[in-house]
Amino acid sequence: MRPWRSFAAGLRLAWALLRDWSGDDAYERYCRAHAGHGHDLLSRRAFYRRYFEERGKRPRCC
Amino acid sequence: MPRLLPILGWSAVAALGAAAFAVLALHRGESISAAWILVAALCTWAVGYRFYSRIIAQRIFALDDARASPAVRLSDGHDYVPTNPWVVFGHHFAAIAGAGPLVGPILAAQFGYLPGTIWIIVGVVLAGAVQDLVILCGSLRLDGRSLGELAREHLGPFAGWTTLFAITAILAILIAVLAMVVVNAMSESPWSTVTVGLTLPIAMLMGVWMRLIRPGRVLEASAIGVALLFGALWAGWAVHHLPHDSAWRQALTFGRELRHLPLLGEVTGREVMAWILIAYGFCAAVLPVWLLLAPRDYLSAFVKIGTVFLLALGIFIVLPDIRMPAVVSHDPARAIAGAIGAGDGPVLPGTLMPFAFITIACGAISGFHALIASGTTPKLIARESQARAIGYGGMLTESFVAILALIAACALTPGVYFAMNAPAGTIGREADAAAGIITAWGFAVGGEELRQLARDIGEESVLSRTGGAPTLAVGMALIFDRATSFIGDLKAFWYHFAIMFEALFILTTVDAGTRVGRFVLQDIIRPAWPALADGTRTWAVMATSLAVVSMWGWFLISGVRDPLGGIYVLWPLFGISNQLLAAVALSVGTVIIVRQGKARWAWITILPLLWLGGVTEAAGWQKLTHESPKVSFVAQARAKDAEAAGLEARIAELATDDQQLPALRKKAAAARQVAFNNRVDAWLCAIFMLVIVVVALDAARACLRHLRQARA
Repeated sequence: MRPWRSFAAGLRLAWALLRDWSGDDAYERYCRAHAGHGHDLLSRRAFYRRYFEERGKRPRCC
Repeated sequence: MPRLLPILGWSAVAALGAAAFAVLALHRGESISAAWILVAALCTWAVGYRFYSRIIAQRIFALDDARASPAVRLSDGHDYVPTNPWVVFGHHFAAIAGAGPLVGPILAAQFGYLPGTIWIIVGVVLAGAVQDLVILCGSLRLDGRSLGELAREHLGPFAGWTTLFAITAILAILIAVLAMVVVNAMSESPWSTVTVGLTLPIAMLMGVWMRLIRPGRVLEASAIGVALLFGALWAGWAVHHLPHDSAWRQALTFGRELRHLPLLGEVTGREVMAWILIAYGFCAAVLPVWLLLAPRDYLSAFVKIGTVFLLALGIFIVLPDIRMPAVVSHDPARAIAGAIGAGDGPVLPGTLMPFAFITIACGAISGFHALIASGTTPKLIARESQARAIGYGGMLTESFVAILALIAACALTPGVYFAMNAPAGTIGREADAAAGIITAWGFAVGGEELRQLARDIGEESVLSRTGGAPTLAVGMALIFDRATSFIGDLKAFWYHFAIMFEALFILTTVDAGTRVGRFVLQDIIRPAWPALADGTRTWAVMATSLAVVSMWGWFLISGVRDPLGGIYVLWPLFGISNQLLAAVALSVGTVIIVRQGKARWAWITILPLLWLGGVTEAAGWQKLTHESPKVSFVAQARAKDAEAAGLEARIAELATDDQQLPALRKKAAAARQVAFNNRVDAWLCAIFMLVIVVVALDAARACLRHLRQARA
């Protein structure tokens, strides 16, 4: 049972890293980080508009 | 005893690597297993990472997790975000790994497998990864500032401006040469044109999905996009199997036929393709990021990582034989060796020394990486100690990609390699005649062999498919096909899959590069004309985007019209500009090390700087002074001027109503244009050479001043 649990935990970690890398969970992280700060949170749509704009500024190499 | 085991283990790894190098260097048979290249590479990189990177991380920068990184200290959830190291590694690698490490080693295979293998493996350990890690650490210590800001801080305003100039120039040449690779890969290939063309609506659909239909569902949209890519491959296959005289197939066969364009008149199919790419670059730079650029970036990143993983897996399973000789230019049995030794190689001009190093470029060291290692990546690193794996390890991984590309190219029959990479002006357009020329060079190949290969991969011809991308695609197709031989013959599918994979991330560099070029240009002009640098004004965005597109578009069109083919002219210029930026980064890195009070370790950046400066200056000098028009921009300009003068003299002798006049006038104008293009390239080359010397001297001055102040 233990190897299976380790494997499942590894898969969960890989999935979490993939979501983090791709920005799939960026809005959830934003909400967690800014909850309770007393200011209005951006809507999911507005957040991703800004998020993609920022991604577009990253250089891509040769 | 516990200390003895690691010593014995690392000694064994080092001995194995050395033995693999010895086998590669001394082997004189028909072929050699790629396993030796892989063993030499993996052992050298393991030792380099374990010991050499440790010197930089611990002795020079004393990376310490107790010191808060900029991402922690300045965390704003926006620019500065402490991030999981694996995620930072993924971002860093996706940003630094482009087409360069794939194309450069393939072009350098003209010199044989050994020069490329040695420089990629050793160069990355002693130069490329050192540059990336030193700049990353230097930026970490200065709040994650960019290379231009680091240059200004450590060297002064002149170096800062010089760096901005170098970045703008390298961007223009980089985008042009990569666009040239796509033009060469897609011309005369309806299958590739349809497949790559369909990636645009697929990316836009993904953009609409992620922004409007299901905001932020990136992985969902990416899965849909990747599935649709296979549909695009099928659509290309369907067009490829249409009758030759069908309108669709005719319209999509960019290549030999002349086309009529407004204002430009009759142009070649390749030029039509180049104008389409220029229009695409402009649209991608001004359209909202969410609609095209961001989804393309996702699509490209997933396909890139997946395909590189598949290629590594395929090579480890198949372990193909390397059929290219160790060193072609020193092989008296090959007639071509004399031409390459004299600098007239069919794939690229110039002798092995120094041009092999300029050609490989990104696989061993790339100045462009310094832009990612400063300004972007350091703002995400949560702990200082993680910089070693991300900076040094990221570059080793890119070098691994370069080694895979080199293996894929050198596993081809050398005759096929030269048939695909020599310009049409050298080998002609007919398979039997081309095979005769290449066989006379010392690499036996038959016309039927070349025709059969074209049929196998679903193309009209494999002759003169210059630029490296088609060669890599054929190499990958043959390796993948062997690994999947139990399914059936899939060479055509794998070839077009590989072309799609290459075009996807090259086009991502084209659109992202144009956008980043716009930001750099706005930074440069902001003090003089703030309104033009205002990113919120539509007219300013359009104007600056048009300026950037015009810069790289000019190089692209001049390359397409060049009689020797664009890659032959543009790649060396790209290599020189890229290594120039690396020399600037290593100069800045040296000053950073000295100002850290670690002058006795400064040799770690000074040695690669001297080597890189030496080979780049030597290559630049030959591009200006060599007597062969194939090697030197200046000699080529003079030859074309003489050709134009001869044509103009003939025109003057003819009667005004002579039927030959229009054609002669067109040829004379084309010769003058090529002469002008070569003069521009020569001036740029001279400026690059001057910049390297000036920045290196400026760095030496800054180091000496610091040392004097430290003593006082």
